[in-house]
Amino acid sequence: MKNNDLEKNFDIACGNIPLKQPRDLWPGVFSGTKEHRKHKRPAKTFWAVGFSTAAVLLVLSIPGASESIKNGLKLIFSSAYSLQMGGKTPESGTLFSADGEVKEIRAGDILLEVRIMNMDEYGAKIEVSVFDTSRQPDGSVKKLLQKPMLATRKGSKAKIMVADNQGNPVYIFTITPSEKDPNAYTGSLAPISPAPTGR
Amino acid sequence: MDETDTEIVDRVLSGETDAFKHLVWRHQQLLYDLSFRLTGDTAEAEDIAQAAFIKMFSSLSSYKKELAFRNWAYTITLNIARNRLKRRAILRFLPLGIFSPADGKEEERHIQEPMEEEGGRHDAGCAAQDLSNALEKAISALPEELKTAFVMCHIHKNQVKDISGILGITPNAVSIRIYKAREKLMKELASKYQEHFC
Repeated sequence: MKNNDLEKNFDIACGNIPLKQPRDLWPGVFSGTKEHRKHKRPAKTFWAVGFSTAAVLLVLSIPGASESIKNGLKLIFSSAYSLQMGGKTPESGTLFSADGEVKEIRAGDILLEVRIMNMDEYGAKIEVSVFDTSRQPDGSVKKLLQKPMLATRKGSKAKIMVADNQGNPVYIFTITPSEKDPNAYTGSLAPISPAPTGR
Repeated sequence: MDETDTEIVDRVLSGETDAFKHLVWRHQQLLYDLSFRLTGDTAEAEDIAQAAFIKMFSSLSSYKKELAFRNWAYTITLNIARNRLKRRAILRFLPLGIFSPADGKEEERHIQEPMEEEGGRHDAGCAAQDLSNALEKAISALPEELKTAFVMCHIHKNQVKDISGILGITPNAVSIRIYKAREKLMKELASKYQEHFC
């Protein structure tokens, strides 16, 4: 029997098989998600918020506390990049990302997901996923083309070049991962005056 | 006009969490049906579908809208079902008595058995019902990979390219799985239902 006939026969035979009917799952899902909401966002009364703000202010007023907060922060990379597609003019900019955070750079239909990870005091690892976001013949809109990865020294330029089958460069991506100086972190904490309740 | 899944997702994400029930009601039957066909157990299938919806709710912010919600829901359900099946397979290899049910009874199964023929009634409706039952039984005996692809294609009427996205394999690999499933089912059913499968 031909595959097409077989497919049709199975379509007809399976047409008589009804889908199994569950009982209403919403009550169970509701209680499950309620638990989740409880864990995720504990309801805070206004005075509780006030106390926690006071606690933060207290910690900040202890000498050295701000330094320990800085040490606990994720490393931030401020990396100059440039992306050249085929023979076009390169597009450049600065990518700010936390250690391990995925950031997107888009150039036409090409989407780059860039992740910079701290290796040690001197080195950083760069992972790039290159996607084609034009509509593909199979209907998909995000096709992974390449996933290069390389290690480089912080502050020095890393270059990723991908060529087609004939060896012509299709795109060139350069990036200079630079760790932001801890002293560059600035911030201030100011109390918010309570908003009018409207009553 | 009916709200789209994406519109409901937006409502949930904007804080109207109760709107999630519409997504549950819209997709529970498909997800439960798939879970049931994979596990053969009504209670476990409900548990899997429920766990899948809870997982969807908790990770709704990571849902990418370019993917159909239904396909995302299928993927999550399949992952949960496969983990349960794996765990069950491990438990079966453990020495008897350690993880068996407390009273030592066999694990309860709720696979629907084919209906018994009654007094030689062979009208068309009865024959169709008989075929459906035999087919369901044969499907339940398929290996997990073939069963999933077959059920999603022939019973849930999904396109091969959607199944490929859900299972994370190429459309060609999906077609091969469906083909192999059909071959196995045909071998199983051909002797009794020649007019359909020969």
